[in-house]
Amino acid sequence: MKAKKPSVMRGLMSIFAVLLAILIGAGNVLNARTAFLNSRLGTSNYKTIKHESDKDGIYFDSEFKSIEDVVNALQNTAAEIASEGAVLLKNENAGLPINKASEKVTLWGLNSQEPVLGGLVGSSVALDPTTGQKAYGLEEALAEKGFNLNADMIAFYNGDATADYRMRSQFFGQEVFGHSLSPIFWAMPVGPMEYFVGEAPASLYGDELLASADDSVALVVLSRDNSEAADYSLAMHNTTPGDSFERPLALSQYERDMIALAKAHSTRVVVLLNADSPMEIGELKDDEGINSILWIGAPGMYGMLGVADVLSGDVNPSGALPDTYAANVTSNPAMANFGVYLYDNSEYMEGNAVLTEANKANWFVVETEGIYVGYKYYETRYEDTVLGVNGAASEVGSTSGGPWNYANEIVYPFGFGLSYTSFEQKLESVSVEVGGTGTATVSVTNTGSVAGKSIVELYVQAPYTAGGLEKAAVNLIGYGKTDVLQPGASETVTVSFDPAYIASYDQNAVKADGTQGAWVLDEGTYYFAIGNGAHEALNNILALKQKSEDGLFVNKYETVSADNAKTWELGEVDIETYSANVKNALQDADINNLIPGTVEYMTRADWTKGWETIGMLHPSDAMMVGLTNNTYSLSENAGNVVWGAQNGLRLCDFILTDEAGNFTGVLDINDAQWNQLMDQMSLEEAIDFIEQGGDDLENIDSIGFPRTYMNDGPLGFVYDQVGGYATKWAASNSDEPTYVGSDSPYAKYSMAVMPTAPVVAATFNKDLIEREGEMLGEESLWSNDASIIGPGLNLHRSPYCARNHEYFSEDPMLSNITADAYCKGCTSKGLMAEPKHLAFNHQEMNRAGMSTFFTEQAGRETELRCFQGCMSDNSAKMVMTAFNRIGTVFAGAHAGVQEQIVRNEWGYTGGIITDMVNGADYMNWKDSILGGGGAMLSNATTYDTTEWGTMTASKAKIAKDAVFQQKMKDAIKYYAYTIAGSNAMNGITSDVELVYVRTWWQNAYLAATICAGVLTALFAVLYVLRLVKAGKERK
Amino acid sequence: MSYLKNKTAAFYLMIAAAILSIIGIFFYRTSYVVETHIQIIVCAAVALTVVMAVLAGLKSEPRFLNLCATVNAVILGVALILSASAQMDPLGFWIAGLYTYAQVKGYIFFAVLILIAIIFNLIASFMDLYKKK
Repeated sequence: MKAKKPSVMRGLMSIFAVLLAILIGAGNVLNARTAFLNSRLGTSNYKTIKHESDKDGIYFDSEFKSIEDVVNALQNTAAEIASEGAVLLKNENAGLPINKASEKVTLWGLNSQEPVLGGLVGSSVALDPTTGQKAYGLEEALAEKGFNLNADMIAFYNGDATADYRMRSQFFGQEVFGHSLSPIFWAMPVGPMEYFVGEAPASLYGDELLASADDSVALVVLSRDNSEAADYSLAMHNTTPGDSFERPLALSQYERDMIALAKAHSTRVVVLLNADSPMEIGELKDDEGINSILWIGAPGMYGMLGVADVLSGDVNPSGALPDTYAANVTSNPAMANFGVYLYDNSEYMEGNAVLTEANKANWFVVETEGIYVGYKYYETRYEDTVLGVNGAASEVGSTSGGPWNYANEIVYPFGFGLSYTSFEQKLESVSVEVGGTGTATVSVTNTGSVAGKSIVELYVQAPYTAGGLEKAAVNLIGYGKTDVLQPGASETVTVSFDPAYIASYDQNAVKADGTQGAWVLDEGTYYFAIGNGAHEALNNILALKQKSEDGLFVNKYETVSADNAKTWELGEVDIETYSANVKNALQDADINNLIPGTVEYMTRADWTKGWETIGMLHPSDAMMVGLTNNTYSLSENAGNVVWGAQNGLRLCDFILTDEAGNFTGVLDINDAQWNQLMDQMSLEEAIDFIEQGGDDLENIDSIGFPRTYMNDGPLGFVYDQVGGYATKWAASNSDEPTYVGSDSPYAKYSMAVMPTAPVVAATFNKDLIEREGEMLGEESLWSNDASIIGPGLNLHRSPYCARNHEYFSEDPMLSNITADAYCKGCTSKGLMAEPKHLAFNHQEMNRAGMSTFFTEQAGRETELRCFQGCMSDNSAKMVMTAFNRIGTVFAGAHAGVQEQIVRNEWGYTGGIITDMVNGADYMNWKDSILGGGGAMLSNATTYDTTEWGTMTASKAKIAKDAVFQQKMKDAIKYYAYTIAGSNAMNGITSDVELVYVRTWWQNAYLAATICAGVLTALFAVLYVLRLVKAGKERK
Repeated sequence: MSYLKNKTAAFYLMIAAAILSIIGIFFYRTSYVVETHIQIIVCAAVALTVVMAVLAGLKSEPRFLNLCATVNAVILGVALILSASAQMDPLGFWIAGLYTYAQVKGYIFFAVLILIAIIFNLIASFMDLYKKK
């Protein structure tokens, strides 16, 4: 046999040498993505070994016996929320309810076939239909509830004639229907220009089709969709072929034509507002041809079942609006500064570009409206027009062109909602204990003929002096809701509130300890009032204040009663009671402190101010420090930071249980043993934990901290991140009572089933919202996913933010109270609620790195108040920071918010984590940790290309910076404390040992690498031998 | 040309691989993530090819030059896998629709060209540089 030439051996050696090199290099990639690969492949690097013990280590139990019961309960809860969150805005001539037994219903509007149920990305209503799980659109829900539907109209909307008019957008590269907004995750030098309303022209409706609707109730659906990474804009034009609109939230011409047809071909007309963003519907309110208007928002996967119950009268609507419905959205002062504004040295400025894409610093927004967001603007200016002061009646800000007039500007006020019955509410008493609790008692009587629930909304007005602290004329301070009251029945509702929320923030106040910045209760008369919304409450205050109803504008359905307002007197100003540990922390967010004289913020002293658009800024040198992401630097400083101690402690030892092993709490975070536990970590473990929060929270073996999953979003664990209940379980967990295996029929069921946030807030029902949190906790137990990234708590600053569907309201207290109830429900089942985004993320356009500027009073009283409730009582267990900057400092690195306000003032003890690192330079680990942040939603290679590199590569520098090391340990301590009190610890006791094991894919990788090495060596040897032999033959 | 007269296809494959590598660097420099050390590694492979081409003109026909293709293939393999490590996130975001094709196409072109260059070098490694006399 002819011997092989050396070149053949050389070639084979080359192939395996290249393979070996690639495999060795791939090892780094695989190590960095271990968690991701394990979650996708269903493998785990840990197995539990249980030693003899009488403890089952199940700290949080499910209340259900089976996953089927959980799924059914979720559906029922979601439907209940949607039914209680539906807001009846108009109901005349017995428009509603519909007698489903005897009345036929025609669904009008192309979007009736594909209504908006959620929002794209984190609140997406997605599922796998092959599992048998079903999302209920309006038609499906009505059919299931026994309504008789006009099949001809349904067939028309689903036919070819209307196909080109269906709402459509681009989502992850695919065309999807039922949405028009398209998420855009990269920079937008100009705002969004197009919106596809998705309505068919009237000309397509044939006579026979119209005739089929003549004997039916018209159910007209008007939809506007929601999305992360998208906004509405005034520059948008309607891209539905042939259609037009003045503004995207105003009705389009096709929608008006369709409504005209519905009026002409029906027995009566009911309009369903399928939109979380307040649409401009003044023309519907005034249209006598429209009997009823019912706001349903985006009700989620099962919410239409609840909507159907409201339409039939099986449930009496009891919701109230979480936002103001203005006649024209441009009247909202926030709209003056909502959009795309560039620094004059951004990379888009030819010839003057200094800032780069890597800086992520091109954009800014100045929130000139101050505290006057939503109804706080409209109602406050209304009071001043009644009183004839402060230029309130000027034309500035008026959308009619003439003097500002509330009646022209507002269609439906915040907090408004009707019922199928009527209620009488009487404010019986109000008591306030400064430093204690406030209480109002309200008697509620059902004076109508149908059973129903009634919301009690309590508002407060603090004394205002022109030129003094800015104060809104009316502020929601608390709420309650009755049980179902039968006709004639009464109930006394007690509304408790924290008087701290009546105080106003004065950045100029100097306290007794010499620090500047305080919460102030001014001396004078405080007014408390109830009402069907902020406007009615304010009218009650004005009636008491003026001792007459002169000059008041009273909406239809509203009443005025001075008896429903009460006063409380404060004899002298108080700046100390609510100011412990308080000092100014947001002065660097006020643009006038950075560039003097930039803006005149809105002031109640003169309503003509605060309307200027700040379109461009030249950043100062000081601002450039933040904008170029150099807020902090590592330094060399000595300190005794202990690592690697052998203290024999494990995290599970810090869980407190009763004698029966039931969870009772966690060791107080101020106990010295926590520091002893943290001392056991190694610096490498701490670095891994901080740097690799991208997929999950990393395990820390030295302290028994388990790997912990966390996923979006506010509606429930979102399907494209957690594809079903079985996704996060490994076979080694099969003995846990809530284990769901891949063979379960519910293994791939979607858990994102709840209605969107505005619908939840509109229920004004703390018990029901807490129940939602409990049900999300059940999802957590049955899917082995211990943290949910929700609720969303940013303020509805502008109606044009298309992510408002993930946030509750324009009102901070409604958001505050709703969030607290939601988080408490989650906590009861050991689920860690992780609200987002801290803070000031008010628009999605260019959110990554956008500088936000505002006054400290506005920042604390509006946006931060939304987060304050759940974070100060620690019902929120983690918090996700925002993409934007606060001032010029990345939100996840802003010490003023993260350290001073959140930790020092509120006493928050949970974890802090960034959002997905969308710009490694600006969302960098050194600024985040030194600025009081926690883990980074990144992985081991995210910071490879930055100037400062990865944390792992910077270990030597970190080892010389004791301050940085201590901050790392402190950040992780909060996580450890939080995890110890969660269901992530289920099954972990001191009798359980977690043993590291290699997964099958890790073994396969190792085997492949060894084989490649052996074969490379083998062929190298053969090559050399062939060379020697060939050399001898040549000689 | 007597310089080329004694060269096999391996020589031309290695030259082609070097040209592809140079083109690849230009594309790499337009990608979303650009790391200097990757460019240095690829340039090292190109430099080795240049050295090979110079020394290949020697009348002594040094046999050790036969290993250049092997070494280049390994160097380019290292460059490919190291560059991929930093590109995982952008590629993942592109697949998920969060990034546009424009943001990743520079790297994709680079990776394809380097892979072709590796294959050329591997084929060349099965052949001697010089024709048998």
